[in-house]
Amino acid sequence: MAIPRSRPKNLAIQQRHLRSLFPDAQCWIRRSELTFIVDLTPTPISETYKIQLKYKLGKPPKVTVLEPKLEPIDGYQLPHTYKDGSLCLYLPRAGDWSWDMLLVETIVPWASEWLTNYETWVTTGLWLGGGTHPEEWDRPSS
Amino acid sequence: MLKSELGSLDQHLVFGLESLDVPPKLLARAMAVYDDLGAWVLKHDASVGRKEPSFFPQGSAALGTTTITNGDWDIDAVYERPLARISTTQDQLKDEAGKVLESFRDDQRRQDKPVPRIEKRDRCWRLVYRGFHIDALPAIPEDVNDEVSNRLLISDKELREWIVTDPKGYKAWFIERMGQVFEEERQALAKSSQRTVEEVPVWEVKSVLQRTVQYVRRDRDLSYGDDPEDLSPASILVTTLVARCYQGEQSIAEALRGVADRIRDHLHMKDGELWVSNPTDDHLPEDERENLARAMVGDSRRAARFELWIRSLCDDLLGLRDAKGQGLRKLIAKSIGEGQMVSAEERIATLRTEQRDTGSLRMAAGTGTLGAIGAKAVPRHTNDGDPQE
Repeated sequence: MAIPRSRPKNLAIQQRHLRSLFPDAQCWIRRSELTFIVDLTPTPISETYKIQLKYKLGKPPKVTVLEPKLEPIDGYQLPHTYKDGSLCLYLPRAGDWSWDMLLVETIVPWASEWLTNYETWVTTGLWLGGGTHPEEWDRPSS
Repeated sequence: MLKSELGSLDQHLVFGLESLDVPPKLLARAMAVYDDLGAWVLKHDASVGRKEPSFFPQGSAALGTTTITNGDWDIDAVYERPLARISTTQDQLKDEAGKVLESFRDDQRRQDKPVPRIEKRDRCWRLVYRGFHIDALPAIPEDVNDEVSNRLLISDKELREWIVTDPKGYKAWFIERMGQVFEEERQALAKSSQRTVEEVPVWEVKSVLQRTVQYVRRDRDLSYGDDPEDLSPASILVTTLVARCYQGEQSIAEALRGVADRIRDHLHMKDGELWVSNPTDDHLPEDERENLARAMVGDSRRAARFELWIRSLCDDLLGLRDAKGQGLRKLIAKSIGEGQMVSAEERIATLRTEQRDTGSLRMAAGTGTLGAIGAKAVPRHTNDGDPQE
C-alpha cells in the first residue's frame, strides 16, 4: 500500500538514509532532533566544506556551514542565508520541501548546490543559482 | 568539443578559452575576405602572365591556436610566388606584392565591399579591417626546383639576407605533436557537421594541445600587458615550447601540468644565451638551425623579462594543480582574464541548472559532488530570497 504523501518520514528513517549515502559522516538523534555533520565537496575543484544539518519533525531543516567560515565580502551580505547564518535552500510553502521527503535526496544536494553558487559569488560577485533574489546581493566583481 | 566533467577544472578552462575564440560572425566576415583575397592574387598573377602563386594561412590562424586580443584577430597568410632567388630581390618581391594588394583593395571598392587600410610592415603587408587584420607575407621557395621541400625565403626590412622559413613544415610538426587526441577531435567535428575528416581544417579543431597553447599565449599576453617596449616572446617560441612539453595528455589541466614540469627542459643555453631551435630544422646540423629565441640574444632586459614570465607561469600552473575554490578561480582569472573566468562560471552555472531541472544532475555518495553521475538526482528547488524569515 502506498504511503500517503503527507505522512512524515521519522528521524530514524532519515538517519538510516543519510548514513547509507554518507557512511563517514556523523549522524545522531538526541531529544527528538537529528544532527548530521558531513564533509561536502560540491564540485571537482571546490574546497571541502563541513556542514551541519539539524532537523526536528515539524520544523524546517536547518543547514549551517561549520568550516571554513563563510563571511560576507566587502560589506556585501552573504546571499541566500537567514539571519542566524543558516542557508536558504528552498522557498517555504512553495512545495519544494515537505516532511515526507528524504533529507538526503533534497536538503543535502541543495546544500551542495548552494556551496557551488557561493564559490562563484565569492569570486565573481554574481549569484548564479537563481531563486528569489534581492538586487543588493550582487556586488561588483572582485 | 573536448569532454569534461561538470564544474571541473577542464570545463572552466575550455569555457574560458572558448570566450576568446573568434566569434562566428567575425569568422564568417574574415573568411569571406580571405577567400576573396586568395582568389584575387591568383587571378591577378595569371592576368599579368606570372606563374601560379600559392596563398595559404600560416601561424596561429593555420594551427587553430588563435585568441582574440584587445578586440583584434591576426590572420597570417603566405603569398608564395614560384620564383628563383636570382630572379628577384627582397625589395622587388615585397613591392610587387604591395601592388597586388592595392589592386585587390581597388577591386573591393568597386564591388562595394569593405575596403582595408594597407600598411607596410617589416616582413609583410597588413590589410586592416574592423575586428581583424590579414598579414600577407611575400615569399619565394628556397629552391624553386625542389618539389619536396616546403622551405621558403622571406624578406625582412632590417636584414640583407633572405630569411628561411617553413610554415607548412611547422604545421605538419604541430599536427604530429597533437597526436591521437587531435585526430579524434577532428573526426568528432566532421561527424557532427556531416563533413569528411579532410574537409575539416586544422584551425577549426580545438584539441588539448591547441587549447593549451591558447592558454599559455593568453597568459603571456596578460602578463606582458600593453608593454610599450614590446618585450614579449614571439608566438612561435611559446607555441613550440608548449608543443614540445605535450605528451598526449587527455585534458588541458594535465597538459598544463606537463608545461610546468617540462618547459625548462626545452630552454637551452648556448654560449650564455637562450636557445630554442625551430622544430622544422631538426634535420639540420645544430649550427644551421634557427634560434626561435633570437630576439633575446644580446638583449639582457628582454631575456630577464622572459625568465620572470616563465617563473610566474610555472608557479601559477603548479598552483592550478593544488588550489581549490576561490584560489583556483583567481589563478584562472590571472592567466586568461577575469571576464573569461566569469564567462566560464556563468556557462557552468547555466548548465548545472539545466541539468537539475531536467533531472540529470546527480549527487555522488560520500562527497556530495554534483555531476552527471551520482547516487541521487538533485530535485528542482528555489533558493529563498528573504533572509528576514
